This record gives sequence, structure tokens and C-alpha cells, in this order.
Amino acid sequence: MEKIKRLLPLLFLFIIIAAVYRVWFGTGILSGGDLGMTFHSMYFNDYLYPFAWYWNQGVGLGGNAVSLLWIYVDFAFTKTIFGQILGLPWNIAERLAYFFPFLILGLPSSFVLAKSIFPKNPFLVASALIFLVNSYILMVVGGGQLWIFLSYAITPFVLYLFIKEINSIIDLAKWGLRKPFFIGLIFSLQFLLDLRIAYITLFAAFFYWLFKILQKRKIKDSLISLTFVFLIPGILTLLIHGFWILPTLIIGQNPLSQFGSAFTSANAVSYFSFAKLENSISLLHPNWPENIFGKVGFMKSEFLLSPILAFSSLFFSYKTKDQITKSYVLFFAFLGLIGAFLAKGVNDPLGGIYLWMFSHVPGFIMFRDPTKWYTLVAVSYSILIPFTLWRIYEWLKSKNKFSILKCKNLFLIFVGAYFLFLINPALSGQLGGTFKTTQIPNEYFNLESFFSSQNRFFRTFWLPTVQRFGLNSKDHPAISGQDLLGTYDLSSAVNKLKTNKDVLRYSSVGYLVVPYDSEDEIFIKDRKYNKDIYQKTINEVKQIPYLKQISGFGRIAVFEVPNPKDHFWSMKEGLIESYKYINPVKYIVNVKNAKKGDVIVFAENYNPKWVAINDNIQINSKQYDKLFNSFTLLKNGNYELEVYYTPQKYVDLGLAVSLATLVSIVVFFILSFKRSKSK
Amino acid sequence: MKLQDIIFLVIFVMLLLKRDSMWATLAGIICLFLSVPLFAFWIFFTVQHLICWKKNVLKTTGKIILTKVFN
Repeated sequence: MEKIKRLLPLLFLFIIIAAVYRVWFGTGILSGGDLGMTFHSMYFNDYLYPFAWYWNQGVGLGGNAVSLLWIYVDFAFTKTIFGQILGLPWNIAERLAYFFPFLILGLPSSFVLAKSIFPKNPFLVASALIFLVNSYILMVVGGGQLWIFLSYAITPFVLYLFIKEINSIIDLAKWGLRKPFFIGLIFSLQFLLDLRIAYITLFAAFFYWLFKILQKRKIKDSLISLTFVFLIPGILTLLIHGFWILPTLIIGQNPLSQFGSAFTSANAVSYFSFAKLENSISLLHPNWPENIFGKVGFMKSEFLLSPILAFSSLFFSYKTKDQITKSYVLFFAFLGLIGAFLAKGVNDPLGGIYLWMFSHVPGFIMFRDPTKWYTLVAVSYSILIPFTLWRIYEWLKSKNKFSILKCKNLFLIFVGAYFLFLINPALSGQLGGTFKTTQIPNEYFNLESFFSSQNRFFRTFWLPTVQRFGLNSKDHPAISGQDLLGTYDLSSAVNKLKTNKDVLRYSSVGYLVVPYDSEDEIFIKDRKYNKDIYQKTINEVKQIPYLKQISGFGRIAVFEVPNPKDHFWSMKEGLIESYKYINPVKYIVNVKNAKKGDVIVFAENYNPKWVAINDNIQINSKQYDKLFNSFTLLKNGNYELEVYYTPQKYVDLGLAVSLATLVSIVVFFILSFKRSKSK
Repeated sequence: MKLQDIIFLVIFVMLLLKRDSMWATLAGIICLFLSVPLFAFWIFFTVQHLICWKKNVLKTTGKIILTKVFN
């Protein structure tokens, strides 16, 4: 009976997890927010080897991807393993690669932290529930922000490692480098999944380190722990991530510069500060439960009981004589408050502080969207609320006069019911995105087959923008029309296409597509689908004289662009005999009957670091038509040109550093393991 | 300065003078408790409160029925 009683909370946890994430245990396609569809042909889009140039950067015309290589590596790993090697269909691959790992990592991760903080707390199950089923993470998961939720899942474990080692009284001889290296490895993994969540975890760990100093820890101990817990793992992380950090530093590229001011300006922060203090302190995501971008719901007062429960832990900690418990409660209470303060962004009170930090604190520029700081609130409450529940439960248990009523059990029922009430939208199927399966319209499959079956390079131009089920592959990159033309006004976009028909041809666009908006997210008026805009778009495009509509794609309107230019082309007929794609940063072009001064156009976004090399003679790229690369030939005859993106050499160098670091660590661990075994 | 601002400042100064973390925590928790009905009855909202009011008036006149956007 006792055993069953002990298993009941676990059963409750698994039932809730299964109920909330039930759709994941089916087979339908999950898609929402940032997560689109990956057709089989798209499994080959990403490369395990990091390349400095990627075809899908720069609105589909290619661009420098050095500072984003970490995320490309993430995608490449999952698509290679689950798509290319195992050959799984996307509906299974996405579950195994992203969704199940979230639960598989998140459950033990939150348990480990909670167990290490309050080992005797019988409400550890509540920690996992609060951490994995709160309005913030449900919105992130529903929005298909894969790498954020995976990084979030291991946050408690990473924080646990930091806290554990900061607490250790460091014996240098005993410690050696094993633990710092292990922290470095795990932190590198979190860093690889998502930089921002890793930054937040590091922030929490560093705050704990400061907190320990304030608790009158010896300065010498603090400095040793700073070296072993932060400095060594930090250097290790930088070295492991050398493949993108090194070239980014050498090129001197600001990782965010390519996104423009929409990502880095103070105005952007103000715009993205959706949460107010009452939201963030209540662990209530501002978009809960509809998850429509920018649509902030009213404050749901029932969520205010969460901070009350969380911060009531302070009362119980005052009464306890255990200094460690007191210290932990105080730390996590502060962490929750700081998280709530930062998650509200520039909103009152003292919103200017966030704005100042955004401009002055290194790394803060990544937090245009302040809601990422909800992670701290979630971690904090996942520790504090179970602590409060434990203490209230114990208190009720000790009150004999209530024993007939079994108040402690009533209390548990009340708390359980309250929790279920809070997450009711998740239980009752009101959440969208990846909490619902998606039926992909047949016309998108037909379109994918039509494009993929053509063995030539061409781009597709989507007006107004690419639909989430549209094919976007390295052989057929998809261009968002409104982004390339720089206008959100339909008539203006169509006029630009009418007056300059070379825009499409020079960009190697084979087809113009007006998508069928099956997910109601493109042709929108007042946040609702508007069929008139869709129809008007088709009618306007039909007016473009040089386009020819192709039938057979149902509600998707497809128009053929006549004689689009190839990836490499020239105004001079027959100059380019052939070209060969080696990898995203290297092409071999064969020229025939070339004359000095002939020009070859390379239909990728202009970047001066593209060069064409022949017999050790380097031709630098010049801008062509304000958009593309071009090379003016320096000699006559028939010969071969190697077109190469030069920053790749820094990526190669960085990769060598990364691999050497990883191999060294593996060797170190093997030797260290053998040594400890022989002792 | 509104009445609530004065009350806040008075309590804040009192807590500072008292220098007792227990009292400060208690004040914080009480504030959270008190905010529940204030949020529940939309007393904390200005614009949102007006939207609600507008919605009712218009509904009664039958001219416009606001959609779920403002629920």
C-alpha cells in the first residue's frame, strides 16, 4: 500500500504529461510557428560539415552563415541521423529528433535539480510538472521553437552542475580537470542547442556564485570556484564552438547584423516586450493560450496564486534552522524575481533598466524578445512551489485537530485541481501549433514532386511569402517575394515585377507561386484569413504579361518564368560550357572561348569575399545589378575557374580547433577513467 | 501623485525602517493576494476596462458585437 502511495504522484505526473502532449504520441504531422514541413528531398539540405555560405540565407539568394553555423549543425545532425541514415518519414523523424527528447531530457533534468536542492521533499513530481507544463514553455513548444525548448529542457541539469560545483569545497588535487571538463561539455551542448537559453543558465549560475560571496564565503574559495566552474568550462566551450566563433571573430561580423535593425534596435525591444510584470511574475505567457504573435491576452488573475505559493516559501524558510535550506530558498526567490523583472522587458516598473542592459551588457542584445527570461521564473518556481507545498503539507499533518477531516489530503486535491485549472486549455485541446496534427494539402505534395523532379537549379518566388509547406531546398531555394522586393504592398510588388522582368530571371527564378494559405497565416486582415487578398494576389499576378500560369496545383497558383538564368550565366552566349557544384562554398566553372573582359554572373547575393581562381590568379567578385556576384575574366581561351567563398578557410581552421578540443577531452576522460580504475 | 502611490510609498518607507525581512515578505505576499480581485474585476486596467465597458454598451444598443479579440 505504501509503495502504491509513493507511486501515485509519479502516475499523476505521467498522466498529465501524456494528456497535455497526447498529440505527440500519434503519427500526424506536427507543424506550427517556426516549424514547417520537411519533405524527403529536404533531408539533404543541411551539411554536417560547417560551410560559411548557406543557400537559404539572404532571402533565398544565399548569404554568409558563419555566425549561425551552430544552428545549421543542429539541423544537419538530426536530419542526417533520422532522415538520411534511418530514412524515417518526417512525422516520425520530428518526434524522435525534437519532441520526445524534450520530454526525455526535461523530466530527469528537472528532477535532478529539485532532488539536489531539497532531497527530502516528497513533492519532486510538482517540480517536473511546473517546469514542463507551464504556460511559457507550452507556448514555446506549440510555436515549434525546437532548439529553444530542447535547450530549456536541460537548463535545470546544467544549473545543477554549476550549483553543485560552486558548493564544493574545492580540493584542487582531488578535482583535477574532470569536473570542469564535464561542465564544459554539457554547457557546450546547451550552447549548441540555443545560445540564449545557455546564456540565461550561465546568468543564473553566475548569480549563484555571487550569492555565495554575499554569504561571506572566503574570497579565495570564490576565486578558485570561479576558475574551475566558469573559466575552464568557459574556455572549453569557446574552443568546442571554435568552428563558428573563430571565423565570426576573424571576419569581425556581428552575428545579429545580418538581421538588421528589426532585431537589434531599442524600438524592437519595446515592441517585443509583450509581457507585463503581472504576467511574468505569475509565469503566465502573454500570448496564452492562443499563441497568436502580438495578441496579448488579458491578465488571468488565477495565475497569481503561483507567485503567492512560490514566495510563501520564504516564510517557511525563516522558521527552519537549516542554513542550507534558507540559502536555497532565498536564492531561488531572487532568481524568480530577477527572471520576472527581465521577462517583462521595457514595461513598468523601471523598464529603462532593461533597455540600458540591452544596449550595454554584453550578450543582452540577443534578448530582443525578453520572454526568454521566463526560463528563470520557471526554474525558480519549480523549486519554490514544491517546497511550499511540502511545508504546508507537513504543517497540516502536524495539526491533530484536523486529522478527521484529512486536511492535508484536501490540500493536495485543491493544489492538483488548481494546477489542472491553470493548464485547462492544454488539456482541453485549445492549444494550436504542435499540439495539433496538421493535414498537409495534397497540392503541396504535388508541387514538391513537380519541383524536385527537375534536375536543374532554379529558385521559386513566393508572393507574398513562402508557405510553411512549400519546398525550400538547396537545389530550389524559395524566395519570399515581399522580402526580396522590399515591400509588403501587393500592388507595389506586382508593379516592380511588371516593370523589371529581369528581377526574376536574373535571380534564377523558375516559378512564381501564390500559395494556398491552408494555415491561415499569410493572407491576413485583422488577424483573420481573408480570401479576398488571396484572390486579389492571383488576379494581380495574372496581369504580369511575361508569366504563364501552369495548372494542376489546385489552390496554389503557379506561374512559369520564361528563360530564367542558370546559377552561373553570362550575357555572352556559350561562354559557360558547364559548371559543377562541389559544396556551398565551392563551384567549378568551365569557360569556352573566353575573351579578356568577359563577365560571368554568379546568381547568389553579392559578397566581396567570393573569388574566382584560375592558375593561382584570383578574380574578385564585383557587384552585378546591385544584387549578384560577377567575375570579369582576365585571359582568353578555354579553362576552368574555381569559384570559392574565402571565409571558409577560417571555418576550416575553427573546425580543426573544435575537433582537436573534442578529441583531447575524449582522450583525457579515457585516461582519467583508466587511472581511477587502476587505483 | 495618486492615492495608491502615496500608500505604496508609506508602506515602503515603513518596511525600510522596520528592516525585517519577514515583514517585507508578508507585505509582498499580501500585495499579491490583494491584486487577485483587482485583476479579476479589471480594476487594474484602464484601456482594457474601457474596452469592456464599450463592449457592453454597444452590445445593448445592438450596433456592434465585438469579437473574441477582446475577451
